[in-house]
Amino acid sequence: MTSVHQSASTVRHTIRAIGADVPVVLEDPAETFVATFEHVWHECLVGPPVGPRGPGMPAAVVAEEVVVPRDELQDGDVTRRRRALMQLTQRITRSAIKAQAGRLLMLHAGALAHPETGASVVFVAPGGTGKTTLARVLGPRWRYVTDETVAITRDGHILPYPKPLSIRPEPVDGIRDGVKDEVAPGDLGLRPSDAAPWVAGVVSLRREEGEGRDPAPVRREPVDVLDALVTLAPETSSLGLLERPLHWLGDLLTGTGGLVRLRYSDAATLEPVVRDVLGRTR
Amino acid sequence: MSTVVGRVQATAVTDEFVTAEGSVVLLGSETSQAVRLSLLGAAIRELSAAPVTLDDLGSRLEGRFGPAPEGALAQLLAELIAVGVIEQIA
Repeated sequence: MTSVHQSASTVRHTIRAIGADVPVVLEDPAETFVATFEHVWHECLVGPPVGPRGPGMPAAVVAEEVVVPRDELQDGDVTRRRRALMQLTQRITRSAIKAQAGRLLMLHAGALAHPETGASVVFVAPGGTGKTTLARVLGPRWRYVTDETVAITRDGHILPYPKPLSIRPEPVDGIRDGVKDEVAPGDLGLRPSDAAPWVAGVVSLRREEGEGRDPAPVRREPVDVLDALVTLAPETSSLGLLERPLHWLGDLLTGTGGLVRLRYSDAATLEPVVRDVLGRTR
Repeated sequence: MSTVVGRVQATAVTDEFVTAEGSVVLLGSETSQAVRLSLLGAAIRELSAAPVTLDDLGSRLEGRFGPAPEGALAQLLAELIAVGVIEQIA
């Protein structure tokens, strides 16, 4: 484990997210919080910051420190701890995105990779519309890259972010508390990619209610490059800070067969599409 | 819809993606919204790179595309102004 106890009351970690090293400082945390944090973030914990990430990968950049004050980290009820973990995930993601702004093409998307080739399918969707579910349902057959932000280099590599999955729990007595559970990828049978992931295809998810018992068949709709740019631009972070961002996005799409919109009702029915994309070679 | 008066000019954008057919997508400088323009919309931006009066703009467009229905240019300009790719200036 890579935690550093700077003093009796402070725990420091470094999280590698989309190629950025995010220092996390937990001030006087309860032991239960630290144990849970280390468990759910296991795949992203690194030692000392910076260092190359393999062929074609830029060195990690150091992101703004995330400090969690004592009053958020003391023992309390379970909901309080869940909320603190959820908020910490959001802060880490924001810090990493900020550090990579202007460097990487960042999509609000999940991604799964082929375990040997690194070929990856990038599934773009607004928050709460299917990214995490798809990663959970199909991820165990492949490799988990992320369920949140896909960060892409100019040559099409993905800088992985195998974060805990943020899962909305079932309502209790019909009531949701608005807090998502942060769940370790390994607890869901997800493993990070050994091969360096690269973009083999980009799809846009549109989950729709099915009719009747059986899931509706998946509808594949190719999207021309101009409509694809209009569709994807709002699902990016800091797009305007990149050099010629529309060309970056357009080159990515034309080099990977173009954007395909998938209308579906059940994530499991997307398996053939995912398998098809992950079978591609460079 | 408000009436466009005076002169108009294309706004600055972060990036512009143009296909071989001349269709265009623009990324605004203030937002992450991308806007797809028709061939006519793209021509209006091209012809208003510098401030231009509506009469001049209308004449140049007529030279390219032929006569437009009454009020069509004003309506299209209002739409382009609404999405931030053309601005009205004094």
